[in-house]
Amino acid sequence: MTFRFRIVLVIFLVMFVAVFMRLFYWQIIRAEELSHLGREQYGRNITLQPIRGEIRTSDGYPIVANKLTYLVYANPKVVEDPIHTTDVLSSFLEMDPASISGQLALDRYWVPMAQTIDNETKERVEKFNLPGIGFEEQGTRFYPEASMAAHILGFVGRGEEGSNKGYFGIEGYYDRQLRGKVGTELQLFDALGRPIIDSSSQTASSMRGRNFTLHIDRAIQFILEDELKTGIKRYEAEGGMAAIMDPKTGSIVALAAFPAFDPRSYSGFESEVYKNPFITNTYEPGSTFKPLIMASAIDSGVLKADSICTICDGPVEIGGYSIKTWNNEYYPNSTMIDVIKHSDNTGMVFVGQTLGLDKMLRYLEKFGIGQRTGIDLQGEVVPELRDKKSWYPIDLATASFGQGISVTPIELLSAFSSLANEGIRMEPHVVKAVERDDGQMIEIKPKEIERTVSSKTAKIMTEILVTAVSAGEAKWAAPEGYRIAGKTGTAQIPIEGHYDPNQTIPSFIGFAPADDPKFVMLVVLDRPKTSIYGSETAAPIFFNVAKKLLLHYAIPPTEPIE
Amino acid sequence: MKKYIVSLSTMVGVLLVLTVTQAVVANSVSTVGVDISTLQEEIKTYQKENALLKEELLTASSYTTIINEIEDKGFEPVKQQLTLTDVPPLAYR
Repeated sequence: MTFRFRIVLVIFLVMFVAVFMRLFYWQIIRAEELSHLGREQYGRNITLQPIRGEIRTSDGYPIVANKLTYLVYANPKVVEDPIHTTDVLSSFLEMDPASISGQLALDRYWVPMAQTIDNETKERVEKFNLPGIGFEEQGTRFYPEASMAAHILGFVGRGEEGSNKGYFGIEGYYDRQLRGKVGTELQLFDALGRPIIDSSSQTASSMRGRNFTLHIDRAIQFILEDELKTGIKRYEAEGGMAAIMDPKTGSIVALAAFPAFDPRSYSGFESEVYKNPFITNTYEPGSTFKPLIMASAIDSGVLKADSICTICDGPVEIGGYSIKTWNNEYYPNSTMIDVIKHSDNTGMVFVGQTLGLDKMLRYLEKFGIGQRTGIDLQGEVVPELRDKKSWYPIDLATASFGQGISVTPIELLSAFSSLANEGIRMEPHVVKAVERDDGQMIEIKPKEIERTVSSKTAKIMTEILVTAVSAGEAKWAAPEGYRIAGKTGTAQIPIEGHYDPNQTIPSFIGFAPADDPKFVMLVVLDRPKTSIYGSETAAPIFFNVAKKLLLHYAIPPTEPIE
Repeated sequence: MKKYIVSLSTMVGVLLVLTVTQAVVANSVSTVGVDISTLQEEIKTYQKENALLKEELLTASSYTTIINEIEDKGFEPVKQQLTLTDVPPLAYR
């Protein structure tokens, strides 16, 4: 009897050990795999794509928003009537029937048919109840103002992993913040496939991208683009660019460049036009550079506004080169006011030589020449200043009137704006505020870079520049009743070791109202054909925009109108 | 002995009440998922509607649309601008 009991006990023990070992195998060794398998049976992992942040103009208008679009896909194994399906899809999706038919013939479970179709088209196709045809929601960038401010905004394309990625402008510079964070969700289902609530359903919520509010004023941007486009056409230029900045804060209120691209269909444009020339193109600024050198000379105390130029009675010979004025007319005993008014190259050589190389380089550094301005747009280029040892007397002479030295337009605008801001240079900035996922607004405060010249020098330069406008070459285009400070520029273009004798880069830089500047603006044209001079091309564009800006800001005239 | 019976009955009673409560709660909660799913569908519909309306609103209020409308209606830009000066006007004689 005892023997039988023992046999039974051993059998039970063996069975227990076997069960124990099997359980150990399932629950410990293959736990993760089986748990995953189970989860797949009663739940589904859903990837939550974040919504890309909006980009808004200063009035809160979303200049870049998101549009609801759909990806049309097919499961060729479920499609019942390929001919009918091809007919419907080709007529509504405007696709080649042969390509649709080819896609439907593939031996796959999932084939993408068309991207970014709008809701209306989706609903039309849906009415046909085509078996094997489905739609997947996808966010697409939406530009209500079409191609406005394209160079500031950049565009959204595909990254290496096929996900959305921002390129150029704000989209490129702030891509990570705009993109947001991908989330995942595990949705559980009961035996009948109905969703059930479970504490572990939400595993990681997605985080929508941050919204950006820019300093860009939509009305001013519109005015600038319109006037620049008209000017380029009128003066038959190859292109042009302009930007408007608030000198007191460094806020970029408008920036335009042509030729431009349409961010909605960026792939249809040459990749060269994606770059924002205002921050990536370098050029020799010509006479628009003169105010910086003159301000340096006055600020360092080597010259005064009424100092007399002693070499302005004819061409200046330096190192075998003869430096002339733009019209070969000379004004002996000119004051510094006259030198700027006549845009006198020989006068500027006098200023440069009196200032000396050391001081000039020190001031150029203060003005930020040869340095990154820090603008928050992707792709800023910095043309470096040559080493001090490689400066020869002729280089000092030509640099004093803006030739033989390269800058980007944003560099010049930033440097010049310090004269409009009592000598303080501000960092140019496009973004005004960032809205976080939780709705909190983070204001971007204006950033002071450094003092370039004293407040007194800035005021003297302002008066000199007001005279340059009211009595200079471009006075015919200036609006009456306002004190506007500015300077024309007609720069030669260096080509293969010499300067192009026929083509120029005309420009105009200035600010208004001179006594309490609200804006500083730089207009640059590329090789206009009707006239090569800044006073006849860039200046009228500047003043046309300025007139509208003064009205926009409701600034009344301060001078009598004849 | 009676004490033990009462205690045992109480324990069994509590057990029964808890079991019934669990059954009732589980029963009611089991359909919450369906309700949530319905609500989520509704939210999705409203979100979609909102997105479409926002799209329409932004397009209608864009400068590009407004300028096109203005041109279509025959308006022209102001040729002469009236400006006011700080100096009050004078009447001669």
